[in-house]
Amino acid sequence: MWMIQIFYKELLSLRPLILVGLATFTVALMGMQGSKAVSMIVNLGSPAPFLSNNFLTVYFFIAYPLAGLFGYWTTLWEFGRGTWLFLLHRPRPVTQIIFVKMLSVLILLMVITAMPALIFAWYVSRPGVEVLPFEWRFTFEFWRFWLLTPIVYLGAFCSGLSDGRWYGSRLLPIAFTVAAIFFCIAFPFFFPWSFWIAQVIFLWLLVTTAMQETKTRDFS
Amino acid sequence: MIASRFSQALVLSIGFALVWGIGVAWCFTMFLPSPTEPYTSLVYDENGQLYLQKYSEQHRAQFIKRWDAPEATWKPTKYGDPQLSAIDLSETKDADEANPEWSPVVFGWHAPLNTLYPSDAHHDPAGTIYYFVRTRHSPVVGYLVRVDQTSHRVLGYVDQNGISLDYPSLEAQFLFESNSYNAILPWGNRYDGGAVFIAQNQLFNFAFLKLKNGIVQVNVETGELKEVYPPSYLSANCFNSFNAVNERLYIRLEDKVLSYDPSLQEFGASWVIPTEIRKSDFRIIETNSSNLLFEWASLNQKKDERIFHNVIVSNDGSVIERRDNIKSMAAVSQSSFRERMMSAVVSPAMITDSIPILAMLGGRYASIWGISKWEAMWRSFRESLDMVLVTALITVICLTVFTVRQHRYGLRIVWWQISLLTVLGFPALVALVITEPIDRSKRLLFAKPEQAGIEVFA
Repeated sequence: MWMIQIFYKELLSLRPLILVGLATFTVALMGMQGSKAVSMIVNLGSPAPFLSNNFLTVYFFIAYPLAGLFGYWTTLWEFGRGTWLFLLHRPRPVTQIIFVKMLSVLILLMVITAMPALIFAWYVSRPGVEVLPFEWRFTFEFWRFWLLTPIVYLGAFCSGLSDGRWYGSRLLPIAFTVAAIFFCIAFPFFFPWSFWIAQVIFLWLLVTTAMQETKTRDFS
Repeated sequence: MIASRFSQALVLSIGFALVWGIGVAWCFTMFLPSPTEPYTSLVYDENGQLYLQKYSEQHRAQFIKRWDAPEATWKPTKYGDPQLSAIDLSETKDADEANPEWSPVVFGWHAPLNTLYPSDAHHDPAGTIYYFVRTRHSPVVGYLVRVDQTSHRVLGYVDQNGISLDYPSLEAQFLFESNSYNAILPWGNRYDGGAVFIAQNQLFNFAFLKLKNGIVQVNVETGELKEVYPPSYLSANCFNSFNAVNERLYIRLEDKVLSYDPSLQEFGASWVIPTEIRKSDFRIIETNSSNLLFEWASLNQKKDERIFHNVIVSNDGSVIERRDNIKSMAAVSQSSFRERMMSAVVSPAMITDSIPILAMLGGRYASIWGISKWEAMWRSFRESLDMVLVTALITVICLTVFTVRQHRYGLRIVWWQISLLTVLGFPALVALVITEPIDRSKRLLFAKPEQAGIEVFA
């Protein structure tokens, strides 16, 4: 029950970011479908949804920063409002509380970033909308990018939890995230399972790092 | 506990390595000297006149002189000079090996990525556009689809039976030769090897599909198919570009280069490819006297020089002129001692300065030097040994500094810290210093001296 309460609490506190993220996705998808209002600002027209790079670029520039914002929002924002003290005084181990908090935000993030893609895929799969015969396998590359979103969130989460200086060690988890994303995008094909193995290793590293930060961080 | 401390140190190490590498490399760029050797290439102008063109990195300038006047002095090029270029005719197999299929294999399934490229350059009068859809990966099977750009209606699917409104069955789809590139590209694009290319502009409205059983020409206006080459030309490669003399389409086969006129109804001129380059890459230039100049590079391993060869061949296959030594340059521009030392500082970690270097350089240099991969790896190891030794020295210093620090503050040294330092070197030292809290009151630099007596000041 307490887990659901934490999930609900995160949902409430992240409402502004969720709305901004969904609105940005909506505008970008309108642009990709030829909205003149959006095209006046930036041309996102794409002749091949999901298979051209436009959709992935849109996802990259909206979802990844959004994931970073989620990470900082759920750590730094809590310090400012004294929420950490309230949270950590619950009758549960600190690591459990923070793990559930992290997991809740991750679930929210993954749902929110998958929703625009699913809606867009449903839209372009309707006959007559797009020039191409749509097949769900065309979305594979998107799901690969989507699976990398937690790495960005966890990097920002670790950075937000860290008590290092901003110009010192605090941003190093973000640098790690950049390296991990680059590795997964650029070198995923050493052997068939390399992408998944790298993904699991990076996620494990970031989760355990977050747990270590939890143990050493002074939340008072 | 150990796992989380290890993870934290590893995350910070990799993060710091990235920041350090980018920052230091950026600082070092100002110390890197420009190459002093000028690069010389062969070019031609709009009249088919051949020129030698020299570009000097050091002087940031281009110089030019006529091919047929070797004694003439180099003149600097100026604005308004004709655009000079040559046609690249790379060999398909090399391109395939150098650029393996990009799509990943996931759970044993080849993901159908990058299977569909729009031809963004072609807009025929009817407002239609073609796409290539690959439905099977290995062997590569696919079809073309013709679409009205305005209404987004499918105007027809092109398969082995020609164009029709019926979605092509798997049996009717094209079986392609290459699994490396399956793209429709606009006319004139630089393109290294391909299963499909479209020759598209106002003169050439044909697509060429490189299939298992030969090359098929598709009329993109009508969807009509025509077999251009029999199966014996399987290893043929097709490239196209405009020639300065006439608008031609050049197609490279196993032993000769063919040229098409814009109607594509009859063969134009053909030239025999010199035997020594039939399995390698070369560039061509058609001269104003309808001869073909082949240009390629070879390697003099003893001197480590790359030599550019130029041979002019006539239509009847006879060699008119050959120059083997127009300009030589460092074949494999090995980094200087200064650059290697800079590399050791940019990435002061054994994991980046030893095994990956050997593997990458070995693979890369094997084809350039024309030796086996193991020989190339051994050679690159020999040539980068000083860098590896400097990195090893940095690692030893880091290990020593960390050991002294731990001892000084009364902290333990554990196996994973030693492993991390050995593999990641300086970045690991920084990460461990950040993550290992110290208590300065426990500093054990000098032992407190024993009291020998009481000094009294009178």
